[in-house]
Order: sequence, then structure tokens, then C-alpha cells
Amino acid sequence: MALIARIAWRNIQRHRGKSLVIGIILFLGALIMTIGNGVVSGMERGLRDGIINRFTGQIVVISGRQEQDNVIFTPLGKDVQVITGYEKIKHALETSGYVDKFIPVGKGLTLVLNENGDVGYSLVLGVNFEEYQKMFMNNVKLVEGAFLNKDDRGILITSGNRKRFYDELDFWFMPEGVKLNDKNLTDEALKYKDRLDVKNDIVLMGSSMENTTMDLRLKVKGIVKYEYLDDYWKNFNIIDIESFREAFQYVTASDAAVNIPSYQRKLLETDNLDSLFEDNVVTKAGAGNKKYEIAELIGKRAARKKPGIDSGAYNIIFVKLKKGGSIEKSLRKLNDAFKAAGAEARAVPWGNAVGQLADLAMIMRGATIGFVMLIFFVAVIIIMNTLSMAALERVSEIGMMRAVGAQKSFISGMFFAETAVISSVFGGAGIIAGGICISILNLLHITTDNNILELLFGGNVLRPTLGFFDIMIGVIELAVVTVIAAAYPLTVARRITPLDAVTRD
Amino acid sequence: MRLILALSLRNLLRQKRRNLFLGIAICFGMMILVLAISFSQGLTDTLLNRVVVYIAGHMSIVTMEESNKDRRIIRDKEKFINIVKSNIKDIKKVWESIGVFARVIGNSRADNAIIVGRVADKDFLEYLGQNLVEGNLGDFTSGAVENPVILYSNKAKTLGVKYRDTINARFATITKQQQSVRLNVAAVLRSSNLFEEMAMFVNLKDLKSLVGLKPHETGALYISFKRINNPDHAIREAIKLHKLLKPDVAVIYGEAVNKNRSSNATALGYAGDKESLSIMNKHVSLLSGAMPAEKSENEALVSKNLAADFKLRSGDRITYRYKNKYENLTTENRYRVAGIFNSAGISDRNIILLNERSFYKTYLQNLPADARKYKQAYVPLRRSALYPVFEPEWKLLPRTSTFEAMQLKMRDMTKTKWKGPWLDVRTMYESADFILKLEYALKLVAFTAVLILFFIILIGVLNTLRMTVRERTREIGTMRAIGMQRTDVKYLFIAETVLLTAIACVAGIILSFIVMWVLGLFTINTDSVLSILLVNRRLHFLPTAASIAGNYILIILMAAATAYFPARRASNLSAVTALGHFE
Amino acid sequence: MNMIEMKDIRKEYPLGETVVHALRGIDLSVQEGGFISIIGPSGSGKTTLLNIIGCIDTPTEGSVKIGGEDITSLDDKKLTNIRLFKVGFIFQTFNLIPVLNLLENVEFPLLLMKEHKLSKTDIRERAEKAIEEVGLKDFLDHRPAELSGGQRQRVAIARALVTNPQIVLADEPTANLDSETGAAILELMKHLNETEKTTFIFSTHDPDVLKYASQVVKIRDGHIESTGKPGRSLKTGKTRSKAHVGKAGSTGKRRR
Ligand SMILES: Nc1ncnc2c1ncn2[C@@H]1O[C@H](COP(=O)(O)OP(=O)(O)O)[C@@H](O)[C@H]1O
Ligand SMILES: [Mg+2]
Repeated sequence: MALIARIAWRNIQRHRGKSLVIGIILFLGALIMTIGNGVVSGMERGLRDGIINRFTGQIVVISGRQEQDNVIFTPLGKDVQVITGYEKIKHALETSGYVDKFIPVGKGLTLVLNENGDVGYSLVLGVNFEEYQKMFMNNVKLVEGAFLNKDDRGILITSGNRKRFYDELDFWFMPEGVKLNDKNLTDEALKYKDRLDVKNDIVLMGSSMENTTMDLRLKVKGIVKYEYLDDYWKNFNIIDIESFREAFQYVTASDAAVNIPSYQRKLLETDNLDSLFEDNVVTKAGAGNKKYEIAELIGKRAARKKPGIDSGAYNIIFVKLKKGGSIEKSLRKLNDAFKAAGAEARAVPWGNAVGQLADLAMIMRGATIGFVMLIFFVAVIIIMNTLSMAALERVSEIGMMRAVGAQKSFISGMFFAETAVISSVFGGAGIIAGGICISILNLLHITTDNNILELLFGGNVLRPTLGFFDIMIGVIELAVVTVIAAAYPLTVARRITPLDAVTRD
Repeated sequence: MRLILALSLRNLLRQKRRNLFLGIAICFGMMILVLAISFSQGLTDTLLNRVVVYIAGHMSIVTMEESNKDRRIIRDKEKFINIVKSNIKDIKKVWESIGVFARVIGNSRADNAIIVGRVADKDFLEYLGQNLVEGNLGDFTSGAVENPVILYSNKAKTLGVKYRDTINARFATITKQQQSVRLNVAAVLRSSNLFEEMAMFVNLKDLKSLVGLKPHETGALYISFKRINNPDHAIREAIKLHKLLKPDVAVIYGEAVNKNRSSNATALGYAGDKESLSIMNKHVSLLSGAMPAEKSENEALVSKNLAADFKLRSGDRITYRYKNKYENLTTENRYRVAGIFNSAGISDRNIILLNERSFYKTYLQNLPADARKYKQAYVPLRRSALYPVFEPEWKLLPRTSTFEAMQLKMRDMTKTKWKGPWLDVRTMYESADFILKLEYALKLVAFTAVLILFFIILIGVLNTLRMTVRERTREIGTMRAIGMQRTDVKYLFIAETVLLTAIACVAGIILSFIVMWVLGLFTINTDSVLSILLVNRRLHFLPTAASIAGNYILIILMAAATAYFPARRASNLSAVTALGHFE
Repeated sequence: MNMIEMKDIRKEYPLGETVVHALRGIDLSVQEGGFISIIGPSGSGKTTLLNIIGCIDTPTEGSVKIGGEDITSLDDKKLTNIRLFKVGFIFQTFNLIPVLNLLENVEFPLLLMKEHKLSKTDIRERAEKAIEEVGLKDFLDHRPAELSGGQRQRVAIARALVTNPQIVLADEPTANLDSETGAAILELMKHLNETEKTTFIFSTHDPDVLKYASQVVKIRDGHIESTGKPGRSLKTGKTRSKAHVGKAGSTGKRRR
């Protein structure tokens, strides 16, 4: 063994050019691989923190009638089906044994109405806010005003949406009784601070798939911000679940009443198209540019409210699993349980629910891995070539060793030792350099506002991580590459016979 | 030279293994390069051709009233179309664009959609014909069916509608009134990407009347060029157009009427900002009455001459009538005389001055005939002191070159709350620059990847050549001894590398086409935004001869440069040392 | 007992469409302790013959016994072991391991003898002794590149002898040396043959060298043409030849 090592080491020094070539290639490969792994694992951690832990959980339960699994960012704010039979689903979740926590929410697109006729839009989540915060690690942070307390009616507008509303509709939303704070104004709003059209409430009109909607004036309780991945989640304003149901006309005590048949009835009864679109006081009033009275209407609706929140309807249930639970297994079991309970619901993995987000992340990871693979593929070929040329260059030497009595295994050992030394020295240096690059990247604190890059970064800041596990994987990858690259040249070297040494001229 | 080529080819064949390895590596690198280029070109093609050009044109003229970026109305489309057609080069098409966000209800199910107005021209009918799933295009074109609509199959499924079913739609008109309408499904189309599925097509004519646009009005004008991707041209033409669209003062020429007596009069708007008011103060003397209130909608200042003509006093009412440019209509407004004014140089003119609000209210909704055709009309001259005070036909927004700058411009515009029309000339290179940035980023990433690949490959080539030169030292010595020139030795080695690279690259190109073909066989079903990158749910590659040839040459040059140094070393060996070499 | 016994050895090399008959039926027995020279013009089959004896090549036909062991059907591993333990090689082109110094080069075969697990000091002693015998004691830590051709060949001899092989094979050991150095190398080999009682078989095409040999086997076109003592007129043979050579005195017989 010592002999092999000694010869190998001296050969490395002797064929410095070759060693350097292989070394540089392995160094480069290892460096890129390490950085790639670091970025990918940083991204995965970021997505876990930002999506699974703080917005969706591992599993998302949707209505069995919902066609697309992608329910969070639907195209054009397409509606999500209402979940029926929540009691059964709840029971299935509670008795499952592997579900840690879950929270049902209403989710939909609302129009934001306005006296002057301009219409904006906003995605909303209807939730029991206290439970929501508990479930998602207090991901919602207060910017101004107050949170929604138990039994509060109102809306929490994200600062991202507030900015958008200001740009599009020219209102500046503020919680009642809160003074303008320059710090929380956008540059643009600050410029026009004197002329700011401040509003303390917002008029929303839900638009459910069943076309059962109504407009609803809500008090702005607070301005909020999501701690993680705000650039994505900021699209969702949060309202209390009861207001949500009113806006979407899901105000029901029993599932049977969810699909309010009023629409069909009206379709038969009347030729007046406007009546199809429900009692749109605001829009009708808006047409005449008149002031409107909406409080009266809300009063009427509110009176219809039934007690017992959970008997009502939701669009989505976010589910977190107990530690170490497998998503696939739980999905299977949950869906079986739903079937057994006769619940019209479907459990899907979080990635499906956030559709494009998960796709983008997957593409990003795929691209990074693909990139590393490409480089390794080419590296392997070039190393193979270099090594097999080196083997042939040393035919007489190797043949002589064989003639003198060295076994094939000795030759393989010597050859492999050479490659392994180069690989571990240069590849190791590459991994270390990669690690250093990653720390530098962390220190540089590279931030981004670009939504797509944010996914790759797993947040606003590029935070690649390199854990022990990642390094081990890197070492294994490097070893595999080395073995693959050395395998063919090794057979070339093993095939050299003493005869080759003798007959060579 | 032929000898060198023949020799190098033999040498390549002699050292099969190493050249095979290098060849595979180069071939692979070339394949990746071609794939990357073709993909990003495919992306450009998809985005430009199918999304951007289709949705927004290369260049567009947009006017926004009341400083609201969504209130897009061009009042005098012919005027702009003429300017465009007679000044802008290489136009493929100029078309009107109207799209409204609508709430649509099918069979007891509702969704959101964008209703797009289209003219059933040849291009569009061809597109419809190619993608028709069910229905009858005749329903769309014949006019026999009321409000025919064409939608994509996924949307039809969501709404639960089929051919001949009805869809109820509600959207806002240009005056922000809610319009509800019953649309009849004329056809259902197969959609190639998610982006398209949001659109529903109705006849442009129908949609215009539904949203309250008159025939001579339109939403925005889109212009596409013959060359699909030539940013320089589009931007150059946009700048040119922007210069051509300098507005003049908006002038209404008509007649003032009072008690059966009429007299020609010019109506002008004056700006209400501080600066303009101070100019007014300086050059206009108010003989009686006061300035109209800023918010008033029917008050006017009347010139001394006109007032004298009709013996008007402040507080009197006067009727003002003018011919509209289109539809042979006459507009008649009644104003209260808020004040009587005089100004040097125009004291002999019949002039009615209106504030911003009342002026644009009539000027925009009932576009007057061109006042410049009438001799008696008072058209303020550019050098006149009051010129800057008078309201223009439109205000021109500055040209911007990035999306961010454009957004900023829009925000600033919104805050002005000016009542007149703001005109913007855009190109897709700014309005869709995020898409182009994405493509650019993709190209950059691909390029870096390929660069690293070729760095590794060329290190391999360099090393191989170095070893080859060493191995063949005696051979080189022999050739030199026989009388081969140094340069020929050099070229021999370079030729070998170039030949290898050239062959391997061709193989790489062929391989890349095979890979593209294979990848094109798979359909990718994704609902995500990424589907806009797909064509017919397939990856779309667009290899172009020019780009492949360019990169081919680039790589060969790179290989030649790499080979140069070892080749020079080989050629610098003296015959004696080379022959004496023994390893 | 014969050290080497070869029966009807034929060696054919395919060469394109045709076949090269390198050896056309060689019968040869060699006794222990001889200093045998194989002589013949270039291309006559000397190298091929030596390669077959040295177990680095196998005959197309015929059988070879070395020290009584039939090697014709052995696998590579066993053949390698025979080379390691029974045979020593001296090559025409010296063939040393460039990255090892003189001492290490000589130690090399001993280090390969894993089964025998020689102690380090043992190896060192044996190598130094071998080097001393070839007169290169002062060059222990020199690398091959720093030695002259003659010195390198001496190292090769030391390496060949260090394992105490039964046979040492040398294929034209002096071909790449000037005649003076060549003579010295042969003197050394002869000396070692006499002191160590090792069988030496060497090939040459240089008749001057013959005077060192105890026996001369003359081959031509793959036949043994004649065998005998140097200086004597050699017996001639034709298509198939048989020779028995050994210690001084034994006479090659001619068949047919
Ligand atoms: N590997 C080989 N392939 C083909 N022919 C060979 C090979 N080795 C030797 N020969 C041929 O065998 C014959 C004997 O060669 P060799 O034993 O090397 O002769 P010598 O050593 O006496 O010069 C020659 O004709 C030679 O050309
Ligand atoms: Mg020979």
C-alpha cells in the first residue's frame, strides 16, 4: 500500500501538467457543485420556512369538485370551490393521528369598489385570525393599527396591497384613529402627503363561483406585512371569516345552503340581466355617480348570520403534519379517510396548491442540478481522456512493472491512488472554496426585489447554506465522479501487458 | 494546404480514442449551446410573437383621460392612424385594441375573463380555423347572431357552456358604468397556453358599442412591424412618432347663439394651474365678473368683442354650438357668462374661454371639426404670450425606456388629475421589459453555463494537444528534416484541432436537433405561469441558421486559438532536438 | 532437472490478411546455471522466444515448463507470480520506474512479494547487496534520469537479481550501449552467473558477444539453426529444431 501511494504521489508530481488539468477541472466541478448545493439547500430551507411553515402547511385540503389543485394563485383570480361537509373533514383530520394542526380558510378574489366607479381587486383570506397566527408561527406582522381580535369584524390590509391600491385607485388606507406616519408611507405617497385621500374602510365585493356575491364595507383594522415571502403573500389581505362569508354569500349554517339557488331562480324569472349580478348597490349607485348607503344593507345581511362558525363553508384547509411525517403517506391516508367518511374533499401536497411557486422552485432546482450535471459530464469525459492518454504514455513503465511481477491489481491501485489523490486534493479544495464562497455570499447579504430570484434565494436575501449533510453529499458526488472518470482509463491501464513494454519501439 | 488537411485527418483517425473523447465533449458542449440558444430564441418567439405582439403590438399609442391609466380612449383614431401610416416605416399592421376585465356567468357558474374585441380579418380567421374545437365561425362573422363570443375550451368547461349557449357578462364601460350583456357562444377554441385562456373574443364593433365607444373612437392603437424582433427599429420609430405627436392648442370653432342671433366664435380651454393663472393675470384683463370656479362645469369667460356683439353682461347665459368632426352632429352647450375679458392682440376676436373641466367635457365627448380649416377661427400662435395657457389637444408623456420608468411616469400622471387626454407612445420593449429581462437572464445563465463547459473542454483539448506534441516529437523532427516549414507544422496541429472541432460540432448540432425533436414529443401539463413559455403545451425551440452558424464559427475560432500555443511549441522544435528526442 | 523445457513452440502473429510465423516449432531445454546466448539476425524470433520463456507472452502452440511447472495454461495472476518469483528481466531499453530512485527501483520487486512479507530491513539489505554487486553503491538515491545508460542497465540487472530468480532473461541487453559499456555489462552478468549460479539467457545479434556464452543457440526465421559452444562450428537445423543446452559440456542434439 505504502508503495502504491509513494509511486502515485511521485507520478502526480512528475506529470504535473496532467495532474493540474484534472485538478483544475475537478476543482471547478466541486466548486460549482458546492455552491449549487448550497444555494439549492438554502432555497429549500427558505421555501420550507416561507411556504410550508408559514403559509400552507405540508398538505392542503380542497373541495373534491375543485378541478385544479393550484388554488392559491389562480389565473385571473379564478374562484376556488367551496368545501362541503366540513364537519366530516374536520373529524377525519382530528382523528388521523399524524396531523399536527390545521386551519380552514376562505379564499377568493374580491373587487374593491369606489364611489367614482373605478374598480380595483384584492385577494382575501377569510380566517379566524388568532388561530391563523398560531398555526403559521405569527407570520403576519403588524405595521400600523391593530390585529383582528376574536369576534372583530374588519380587514388587515398588507402594506403591499396598500401601495398597490394607492397606485391604482389613489386611496391611502389607514386604520381608524392612526396618524399618518412618514415612515410607513411610500415615496410616492409621501410626495403627495398633503393631498392624500385617506380611507379608514374599504368596500369589497366577493365573486364566488356560484356568483353569489355582495358588497361589504369593512373597517381597516390594521396594516400588516408577512414576515416571510411577503412579496408573494402580500397579495392576500386578511379578513375575518364571517365577513368573508358575507362578501361571498357563504353565510350559511349548513352546507346544503351553500349553493344559494337564487341565481337560477332569477335566471328563470327575469330578463333583467342586472338582477343576475345580485344587489350591487354600489355599482348601480356608481353608475349615477351618487353617494350610496351601504350600512343599511350590511345590517340586513348581518341579521341573517347564524351562530357557530365551523358549521359554515371554507375553500381551503391548510394542514401541518406532525414532525417527521411523510407527506405522501399522509396524503394517501387522508384521502382514504375522506373517502371513507364520504367527505367531498381532496388532500393535495403544498407544491400543487402553490402551483407556479413550486414549479418555479422546482425548475430552479432542476436547472441548478442540471447545470452541475452538465459540468460533471463534460469533466468526466475530459478526465477520462486525459487519464487514458496518461496510461498510454506510460505503457513501457507499466508493462515493465507487470513484467517484473506486479499484478493487475497493483496497477489499478497505483492508477486509482493517483486519481484519488488529485481528486481529494483539488476536489477537496473546490469544496472548501465553495464553502468559502457560500460564506462570502452570506456576508455580502445580497438582496433582491425580483420575485423569481426571491424564490431561488428562498427569501429577500441570498442565504445559501452548507450543512454537514450537504458537504457529505458533495464528497460523495465527487467520489462518484472520480470513480466514473477513472474507471475506463483504469481498464486501459490494466490491459497493458508486459509485452507492450517490450515490443514498443 | 490540402496536404496538411489530409495529414491532419489521418492523424485524427490514428488517435481514435482521444479524439473520440474530445469529440464527444465538444459535441456535447455544442449540443447544449444549440439547445440553450434555440430554447431562448423559442422563448423570444413565443413571448414576442404569441404574447406580446398579439396582446400589445410592437408599439402602441395610448391616450388616458382624467389622468386614469385605465381610462383608455382615443377619440380621433383616424388622425393617429394617418400619422402612423404616413410616417412610420415597415408597418405590418395597425389595429385597435380594446380589452375589458369582465365577470362572466355561464351555466350557473361564474368566472373572470378579459373580453377582447377583434376584427374578423384574414389572420384572425385563420387562427380561429386552426384552433376550432366546436362551433361555427360563421356565427361570428355573419352578423346574424347577436353578440357572438368565441372562447377557449378550458374557460368553456369552467363556465359549463357549449356552442350556442349564452354567457352573461358584466364589465365597466369607458364612463365606468356597469354594463351587463348576454353573449352567444359562436365557437370554442383549443388553447395553446394558459395565458390565452383568459381571453374571450367578441367582434370589435360589438365591444366598442358595448363599452360606449363611438365608431371613430377606440381604446388604443397597436402597431406591429414586419420584423418580429428588432428593438432598435421599434424604439427608433417610437421616438420618431413621439416627436410627430407634439400637441397643438385644442380649438373649437362654432357659433355663439343668443336670441336667434348667431355669431362665429372660438372656444378655448385655459389651464387652471398657478403658473397659467399668473400668465392670464398678466395678459388678460377682466372687464367685469370673475373667473369661473375651478369645479364649475358650465361657466365661461367671453371676450369683449363677443360680449359687445350680443350685449352680454356677466351672469347672462349664452348658447355655444359647433359641428362635430364625425357623425355629422352638432353639439350645443349653454354657459353662464362668468366674466368678460379683454386681451391685447385679440380684442377684435369672438372668444369663449372655458375652464379645464368644462372645456374637455365637451371637447372630448363631442370632438369638434378641425377649427384650422376656418379662416375666422382664432387659432393661437405659438409665439403668442397666452399660448401656454390654452389647453392642448393632449399632453404628451415623455418617452421611457424601462418598465420601472414607465410605471413611475404613470404614477406621476395619475397624481396630476388633469382632465384632458394624456398621450403615451410605448414599445413592447418597455411595457413588457420584464419578459425580455427574463429572456435576457435566461440567455445569460445559458451562456455562462456553456462558457464553463467550453472552458473545461478547451483545457482538455489543450492538454491533449500538449501530450500529442510530446508523443510526436520524433515525427515532427522527421517532417522538419525532410523539409516541412515551421508554419506548416503549426498549421498541421491547428488543422487537426479545427477539423476535430468542426466535425464534433456538426455532430453536436445534429444531436441537438434530435434532442429538440424528442423533447418536442412530450406535452407538459402545467397550470402555472410557466405555461406561457410553452407552445401547445410543448417546449418550443427555435433554432436559427444564423445563430447556429455564428456560434459554430465562434467555437471553431476558440478551438483554433486554444490549439495555437501547443502548435507553436511544436513548430518551434528544432529538427535535431526533435529527432534526438527519446522517451 | 531441466530449468526450462519447451516443446514444439510455435508463435504466430496475425498481420492483416496474412500470418507472421515468428516461431516455427522450437524445442529447447535449458539446465540450471547456464549462460546461454540466443543469437540470430533481426526478426529471427529471439525476442519472441525470450518473451515466452519469461511468461510475458504465450505460444500459439506447444508447451513450456519452467522449473518443472507447465505454464502454458496458467492465468495471468499465476503467470505474474512466476515472473515475480522465478524470472528476472533485463530489458533492452533499461526500463526503470522513473519516479523511483535507484534503491527503490531495486526494492520494487521485493515490495511486490506480498505473500512473503519480507521485513523492511530485509528488503533494504537485499537491495543494497544487489546494488553493491553491480557496483552502484554510491548512487542509491539517484533517479534513473540521473544515470548513464550503462548504469541504468546495471540497476536493471540488480533488480533482476534481487529476487534470487531461477532464470534471468536479457533481450539484447547491450543493444543500446556502446561496445565498451556493453562488454562491462556482459562481464558483470557472467560474473553473477558464476557466483550466484543463476541461469542467464540473453539474446544478441552481435557475434562479438558470443564469447561470454557457455552455450549458443542460433536461430533464424523461427527455427533453431544450431546449438553449441561458442567458437565451435554450430550444427545446423531446418524446419523444426530441437536443442538441449545447459552447463558447459552438454551438447545440443539435432533432430531430423
Ligand atoms: N506483435 C507482433 N505482431 C506481428 N508480428 C510480430 C510481432 N512481434 C514480432 N513479430 C514478428 O515476428 C518475427 C520475430 O520477431 P522478434 O521475435 O522480435 O525477432 P528478433 O527479436 O529476433 O528481432 C518478426 O518477423 C516480427 O516481425
Ligand atoms: Mg528483438
